[in-house]
Amino acid sequence: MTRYPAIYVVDDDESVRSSLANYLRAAGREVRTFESAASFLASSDRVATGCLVTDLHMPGMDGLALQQELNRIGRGFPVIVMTAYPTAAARARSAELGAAAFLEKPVDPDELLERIDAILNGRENTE
Amino acid sequence: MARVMDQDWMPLPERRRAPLAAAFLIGLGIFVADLLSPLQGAVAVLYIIVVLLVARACGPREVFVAGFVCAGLAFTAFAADHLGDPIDAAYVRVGVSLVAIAATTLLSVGQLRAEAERRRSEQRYRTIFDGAGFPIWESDWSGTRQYLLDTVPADVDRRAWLAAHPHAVRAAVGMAVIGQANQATADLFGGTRAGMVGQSQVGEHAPGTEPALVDILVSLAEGAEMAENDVRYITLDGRTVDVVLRVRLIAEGDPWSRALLIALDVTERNEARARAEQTMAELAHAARVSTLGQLAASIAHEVNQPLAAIVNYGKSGKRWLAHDVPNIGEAEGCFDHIVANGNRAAEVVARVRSQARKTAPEPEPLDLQELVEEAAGLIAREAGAAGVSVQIADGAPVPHVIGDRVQVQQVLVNLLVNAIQAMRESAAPRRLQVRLDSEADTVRLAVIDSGVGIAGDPARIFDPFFTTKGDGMGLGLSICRSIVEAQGGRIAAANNAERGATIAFTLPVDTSV
Repeated sequence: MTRYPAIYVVDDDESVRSSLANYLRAAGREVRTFESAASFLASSDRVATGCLVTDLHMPGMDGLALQQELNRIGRGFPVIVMTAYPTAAARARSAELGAAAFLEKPVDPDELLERIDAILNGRENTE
Repeated sequence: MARVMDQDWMPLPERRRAPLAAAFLIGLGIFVADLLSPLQGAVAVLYIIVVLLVARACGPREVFVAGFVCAGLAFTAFAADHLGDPIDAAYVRVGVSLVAIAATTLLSVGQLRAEAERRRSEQRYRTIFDGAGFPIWESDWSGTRQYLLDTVPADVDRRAWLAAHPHAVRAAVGMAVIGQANQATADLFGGTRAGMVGQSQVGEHAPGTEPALVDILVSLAEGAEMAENDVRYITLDGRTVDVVLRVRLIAEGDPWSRALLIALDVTERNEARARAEQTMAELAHAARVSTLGQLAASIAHEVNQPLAAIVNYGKSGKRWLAHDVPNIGEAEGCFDHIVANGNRAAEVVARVRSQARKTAPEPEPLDLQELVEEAAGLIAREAGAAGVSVQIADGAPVPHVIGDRVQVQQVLVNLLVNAIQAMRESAAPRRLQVRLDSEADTVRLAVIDSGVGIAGDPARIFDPFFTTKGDGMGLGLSICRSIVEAQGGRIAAANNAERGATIAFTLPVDTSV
């Protein structure tokens, strides 16, 4: 339908989730939002391609566990992790699990879009 | 042979032998004279010399024996001449002699027993004095007493006068003369027993000891037999020791001429207590910073979420409008979200503010005078450590006010601690004064410090997050204002004309009575 791969936003905070989605839509991207890691994994989108933007701290499964689960089921999403509490340990663990970026909240939406584009373009270039 | 051995084994001391021999010879002489003289028994009264000589040399039992023997001899001499005669003056003479011998014997025995008791008691005192595990020394304080009599004016409050004349206090205790000290004293104060005799003090009184000494001197001067207080000494070998010094005057000789001093070493206890207090203060501070830190982090997070959303929607709206065909509908939606998130952020802030007065105040009639004294007690140690003198101004009594006891106390302690901290850097005398004044239908409580004052507009100090402390959160005075205003009062800050600042709050007067 669109020539851009979809962007999947997982965040338990409604205002962050909706405002980011609105911004990405205004920028002409296709966006799907999920309020939890579990709801994302339960949807058919988990097998799609695109870019995953996830919060780190969420009730239930957190961002790191989601990365781990995606690795386990063999879904090689490029993942961008966002957090209001960026610790060195979380950053290292996230990178270890293959995260493409680790951003501190509040995330500037312009910057986020640039990172997403860079990742997706890079990916297209390598593929 | 056996007798000689006995003499060798347990010989009588030389000083006993001479009087005993004399007593024996005198007794014999009196008997012979009594028997042969024409004085008809008058000589027999001289037997009391024998009894007295024996009393000087021996114990009560020997005196009894001597008394009986003398009485027997007197009676024998009388019987040899006069027994069977009609009753005449000779009977009277022998009777007087016998009574004199008996009385002398009994008095001597009584005196010997009292003497023995005194010696035992003295021995016991000596044993306790020398053997006590804690320092005891005896001192002659009559010079101290005389100095106080000569120096302290008669028509003044002596305690206040002495407190104002520390040199006189030192001079007074300097008049004492140590008579003897036990080994524990020498050990504690790093001297020798012999070296202490004749000195005025066992060690040097540390600076700042004067108030304790004043207390001891005044108590004794007012007639107390015993006085005690915490005293700090610099020992002869330079250590600092804290003792509880107890002075007991012994009613003997000139007034204050025999004072018994006991020192209980509490250095270790005081050090442990100081360490515990220090740790406690650090813990309390850490707990407060950590609570405020957590609070700040959670406030920041809650406010940041809507702020981030506002930024996202704002940038999003610009993008919708920048399309070739501006999407007005989507842009409008963004504006709605911006407004909604702005309101959400404001709600968070309002919630935090109401948190400050969350616990519902329980207004009751309060005696501010009493509350001030309590608060001054709570911060006494902190004030002492910062070298701040706290003074509660004497003024006309103020009526009770209406307020929540705990919250008003919190405000008061907070203001006092702030004032102490404001003076920490100040080189000028650090004085903290609390004043209570009755105004129309309120009571005004002012906390006046002599610190560096408030830079800029004094009213700003009540703004949340305003702080002059490196590690401060800037919430204390803001919360104070919330508390005072929630109870119908006002709080204000101003710099003093001379030095420092005054923070004052009012509370409504209790009109229920």
